[in-house]
Amino acid sequence: MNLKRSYILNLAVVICLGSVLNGLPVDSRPIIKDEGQAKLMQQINAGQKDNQLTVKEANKLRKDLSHVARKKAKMLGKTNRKLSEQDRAELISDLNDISNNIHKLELEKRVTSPVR
Amino acid sequence: MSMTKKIIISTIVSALLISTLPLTTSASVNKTAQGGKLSATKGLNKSKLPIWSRNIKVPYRSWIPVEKPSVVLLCVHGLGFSSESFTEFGRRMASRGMAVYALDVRGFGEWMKREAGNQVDFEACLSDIESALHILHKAYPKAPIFLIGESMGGAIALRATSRYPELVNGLVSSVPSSDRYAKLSSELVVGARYLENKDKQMNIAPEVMNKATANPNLRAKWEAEPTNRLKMTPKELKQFNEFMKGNEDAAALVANVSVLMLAGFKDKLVKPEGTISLFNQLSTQDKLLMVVGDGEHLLLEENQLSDQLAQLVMDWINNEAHSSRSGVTAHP
Repeated sequence: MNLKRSYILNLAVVICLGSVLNGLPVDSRPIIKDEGQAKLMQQINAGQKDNQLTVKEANKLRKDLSHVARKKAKMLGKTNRKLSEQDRAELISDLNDISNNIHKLELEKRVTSPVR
Repeated sequence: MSMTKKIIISTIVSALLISTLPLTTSASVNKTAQGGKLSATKGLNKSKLPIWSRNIKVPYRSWIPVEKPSVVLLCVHGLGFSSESFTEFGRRMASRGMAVYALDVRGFGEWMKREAGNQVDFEACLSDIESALHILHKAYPKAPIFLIGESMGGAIALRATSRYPELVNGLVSSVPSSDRYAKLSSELVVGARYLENKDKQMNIAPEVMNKATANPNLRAKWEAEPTNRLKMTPKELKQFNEFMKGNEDAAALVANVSVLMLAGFKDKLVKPEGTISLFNQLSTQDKLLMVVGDGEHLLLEENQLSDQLAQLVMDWINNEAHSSRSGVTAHP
């Protein structure tokens, strides 16, 4: 019985902690789709699978994507979970840079190893 | 009401129910669950396996309910263990109508008996998980699929979720953090051994098994288990350390998948603060963290799953699976 009680108490503390860590009242959280990020991740995965990107290059690109994800989380935290037009433009620009890098690296592979 | 709030409420309700309801009996588990392995296992009648499951090329075990499963769980084990460590977990979940699959990570379990794949290879392991997820989606087109992982397996499951979010409906990641106690000294030892001879096996039992539990009988049992791997090369351990360093980036990339993170308050191997920090890095808002007061390092594997935790995990999965099907959240 004591074990169960301590477990429930611990759990209650953790649940409260979880809500605090999330930083916002739960009802105010919108669900944000990250389609740009998801599409780029799929491109990176496909590039790695097709050997158009090395593992190192793919991981570097994923790291760049995670920086954008963190930047977005920071922006959302500052602005009560709504992105301004300026923030949105900045994120799109960052994602475009990653997209360009993917194509550039893939193109380099095609140049260096031509199909005969 | 948002999903997170629903989860919290359901979790509190279930926590209260635990103290009043009778617990699941093992007899019902045995009747409904069945185990299975592919080609790597001797003595298995392949003709009894469903045709599609023969497409899974990696060693795995499964516990399938008699009735059509409502949810599919794909489990990834921790460092030194194998898919067998999920036996009790698999049986319990299968008794509640969930199909449970557990893969052997490259370099562990049945892979140790093979020439190709007997070394740790995280990229290949992630590829194995991706293939398995595709196959499971085809086999169970309407069932949500959850990735479950513990320790190194929790980190692998987290990484797979960040890479293939379109294939994962939910993630349960137990102690995925790389923030170990005495991390620096253990990394220095690995570094020194690496310089000495990167391919010479070293004993990981003092670092992993001895810190994973304070129970000497349990340690002895784990060390005697033939499917567990207690020796690894410095090259493999270096790869493991490098892989674990990518946890925080992976967490930041998890944006639209619901996540349950677990940590043991009495864990002497991985710091609970590390898991809390990783939890904070998750971009998804649909996340829940549980720190189990009496929990050591392992919470799900090797018969360490308590009745209370099993009930809470099942409730969370069912809740998320339901919202996933009804389109309440933005899950794929």
